[in-house]
Amino acid sequence: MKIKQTQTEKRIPDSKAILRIVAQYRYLTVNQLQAILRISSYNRARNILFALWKHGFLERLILTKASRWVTYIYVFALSQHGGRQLSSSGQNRIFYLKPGDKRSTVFLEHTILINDFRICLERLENLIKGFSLESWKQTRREVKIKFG
Amino acid sequence: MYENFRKQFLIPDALFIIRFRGRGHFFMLEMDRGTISLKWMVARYQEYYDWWKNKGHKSDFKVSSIRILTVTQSQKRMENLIKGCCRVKESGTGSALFWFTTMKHIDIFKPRLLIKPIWRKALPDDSNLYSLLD
Repeated sequence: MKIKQTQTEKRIPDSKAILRIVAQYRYLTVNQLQAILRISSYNRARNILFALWKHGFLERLILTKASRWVTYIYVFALSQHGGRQLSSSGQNRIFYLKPGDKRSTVFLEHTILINDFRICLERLENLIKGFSLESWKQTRREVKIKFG
Repeated sequence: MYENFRKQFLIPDALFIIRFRGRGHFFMLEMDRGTISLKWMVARYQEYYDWWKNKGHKSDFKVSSIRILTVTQSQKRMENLIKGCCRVKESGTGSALFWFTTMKHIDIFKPRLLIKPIWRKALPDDSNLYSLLD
């Protein structure tokens, strides 16, 4: 699948690279993809994720936030089909959601916040000279092993 | 039961290392959305403190220093957590091991905020703000 691209924008990676980004964070919002790819338009990032979702590479979860108004935040994760795409290119241990898989609001909000923190650190690598995020471990398995 | 409590709770939300001008900084991250009671959070900090005091960071991660960061939902919650965290030492003098900030400083479109002086230490008489790179 080819993602359309206007000349004025920074180079947007191909769809497989986008799937790799989603796999890396496990759960990703439109805003997060926008920040990672440094795309100026929210709609552009939204269209990329929606196109991949419509083609079955991603699963979409909806996070409802009720304040003065009810807002919907779309959270995307790799689908089984998307996972297969990546494993066919040699990537192992890929996290994906099966159709109908659900995640609680509490879990999604928490995960998105942790990913926000990580994205900030990763973006700083390009903004601050001499700064690098050397290692990031987040899954229960990764952080548990260390404690034995 | 205590063992289960310990196993369940000594799992941070993330572990990360940043390197700045050749120097490595090791962190553990707790993202607090206010869904866990203050009592349980303080118990968790106590576990972290005991682990650190027993040089767990040296044996488990081979690092000489570590900071445990907590990002909280609100200023009020942060104040309460700092107050509770100061009790991890019997003397009530707190520990600079624990650093706190609020979620309003975590903005993916303004990542520089994260390394500004936005962090408070869990020390009762220290309301100064520190940078992650200090």
